[in-house]
Amino acid sequence: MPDELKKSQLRALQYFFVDGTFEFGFGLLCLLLAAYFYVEAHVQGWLSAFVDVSLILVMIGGGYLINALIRRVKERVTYPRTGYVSYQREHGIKRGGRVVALGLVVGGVVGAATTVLVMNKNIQIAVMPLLSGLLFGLVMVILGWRASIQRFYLLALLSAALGVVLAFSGLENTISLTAYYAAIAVILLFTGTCVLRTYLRKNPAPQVAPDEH
Amino acid sequence: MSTDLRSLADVNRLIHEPSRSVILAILAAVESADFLYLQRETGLTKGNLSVHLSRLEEAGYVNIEKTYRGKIPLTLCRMTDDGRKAFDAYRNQLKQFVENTKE
Repeated sequence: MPDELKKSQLRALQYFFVDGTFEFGFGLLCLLLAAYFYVEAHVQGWLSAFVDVSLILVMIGGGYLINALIRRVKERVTYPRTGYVSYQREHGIKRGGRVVALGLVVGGVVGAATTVLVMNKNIQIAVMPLLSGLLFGLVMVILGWRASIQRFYLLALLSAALGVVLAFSGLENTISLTAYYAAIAVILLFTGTCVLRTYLRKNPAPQVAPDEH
Repeated sequence: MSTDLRSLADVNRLIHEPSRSVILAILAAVESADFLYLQRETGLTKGNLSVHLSRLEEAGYVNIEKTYRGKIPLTLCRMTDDGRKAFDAYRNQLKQFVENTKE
């Protein structure tokens, strides 16, 4: 019986990722970043400085829009079919602890990579796609571990491999970043489509109002 | 009767019913879940689920809010603080019993 309870709880946590909208959202954000780095690589002069500054706006604005889009899709597709679930947000010390831990890990990865590069001046690689690939991979591993979803481990592996390949490809940082985000966006959108198709096949649209008890 | 068996006999009977323990386990993992989600997860009929939720609500373990999402009625269920305490205590009793039992 306790195993059944644990499985029910795990399924409730996995429910957020059941329809592929997470991959869609993340994929769209990566596509936006790819477009940003493409523009950054091709503009010059004062426009270049403006584009540099606007990265934060792209990330915050894009994140907000994509979050709203995911919510809308879930309201129309997921909730009428399989129900609504909202999740607790951690507050206070617990949340702060996790943020600090994540910051230390990210700082550690960035610091280690920088040290290796500074100490070995013969290595001519594009650092940014390598770091992006490793960090995105790390986020996927954490998500996969927390929600016990295997496909996130595969995404982590693909991201890290892509980062390494692009780092040694000889392309300059901005071009290889564009390639990295475009490729990871395609992978995420493909995964999201597959997951959504499976979900829709398993859960046809309800014929009656879902909550009329 | 040994202490372990007595602890199992003292277990919260309202929660110990399988359907209600699954409902509470789900609600312990999330902030809120609607009737449809709980129905799909527990495999209960609408009537049965309503009865179990009413009993949990009467005990103060669950808070039920009837609202609308657009034009569609929505029944949102949340675990109360009392419900969380009772469920934690139940889980600990059960865990203790299982740990002290030979396979």
